[in-house]
Amino acid sequence: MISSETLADQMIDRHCACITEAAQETFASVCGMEIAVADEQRVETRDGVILSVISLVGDIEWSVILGLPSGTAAAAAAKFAGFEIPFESEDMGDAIGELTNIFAGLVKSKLDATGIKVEISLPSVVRAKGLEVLVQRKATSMKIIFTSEAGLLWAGVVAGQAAAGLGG
Amino acid sequence: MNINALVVDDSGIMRKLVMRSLKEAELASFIFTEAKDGMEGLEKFDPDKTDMMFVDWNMPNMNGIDFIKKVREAQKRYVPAVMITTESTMEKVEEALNEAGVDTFIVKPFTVDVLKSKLEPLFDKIAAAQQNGGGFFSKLANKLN
Repeated sequence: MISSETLADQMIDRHCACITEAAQETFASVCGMEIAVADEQRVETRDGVILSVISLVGDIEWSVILGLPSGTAAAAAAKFAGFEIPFESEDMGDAIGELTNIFAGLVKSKLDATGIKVEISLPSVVRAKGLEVLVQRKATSMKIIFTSEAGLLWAGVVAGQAAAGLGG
Repeated sequence: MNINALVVDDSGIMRKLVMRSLKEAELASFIFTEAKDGMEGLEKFDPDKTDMMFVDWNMPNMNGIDFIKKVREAQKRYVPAVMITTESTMEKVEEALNEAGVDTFIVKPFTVDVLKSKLEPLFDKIAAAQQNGGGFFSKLANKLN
C-alpha cells in the first residue's frame, strides 16, 4: 500500500509544472516581469519579506504560497499598480495578495484542465523580517525559487493528506 | 455618456486598477463609488443612480454572486453587472451567468482592450435604462436578463 504522504508527493511532482507555469504567467502578465527557475537554494529575508498564502480545497488540499523579499516585492507591486508602493504600507499587502489570487486562479484553472476540481480561499498575507516557513510534519511541500530583474522570489505548495490520491 | 459605476472589490489596489483602466478605455465619463465587499456594496448601491457595477467574486463578508443577487432584488432599472475575477472555469462562469445575472466576465489579469470589447455591448443597455428610468423597457430588460 502506498502511504498518503507518498501520494501527496506524487501529486506535487506531477503538477510541479503547473505551479511553475502559473507563477511565470502571473508575473509576466500582471507585472511584465520574466521570472526563471533559479539555482539558488535560499532567499535572503533579513531586510523584510512578504508572504501570501491561498488554500485550494476540493479533490486535493493544497496551500499555494508566494514569497517576495522587500526589494522584489516593491518592484513587482510598482509594476502591477503603476505607481510606487512602500514596502511597509497596507497597499503592499493588497498588491501581493492580489498577485497571489491571480497565481492561485491560474493554478486552479490548470488543475481543472487535468480533471482536478478545487475552490480557492481569500489570500492571507504576512510581512516580516527573517521569516522562515515551517511545514507540518505530515505535510508535503515544494518550493521553487525564481530569479527576476528585481531579485529572487519563490512560489511554493504545501499539500495535506486528504484526497492526495485523486485525479491527475 | 455619464456613468455612475459601483466598484466592489476587497483589494484597494484592484479597485484603483479597475478605475484607472476604465478611464483609459475612454468608453464614458465615469463617476466611481467604491466598496470593499458585498455588504458595503449594498449600502452604497443607489437604485436611482447606479448605472453599472464592477464586482469581484471572492470577497469576505459577502461574495460577488450574493451581492449581485441582492442588487437584482433591489434595483429599479436594469444595472449591468461585470464580474472581474480569477475564476475562469466553465461551471463557475455558468453559475454566475445563470444564477446571479452577471452580464459579462473579465478574467484577471486583463488589458484595456479586453475591457473595451467586453463593455461596449453593455452601453446600449445602460443608455436605454437611463432614458427610461424604471419604465417599461427597463423592467423588460430586467426580466429578460
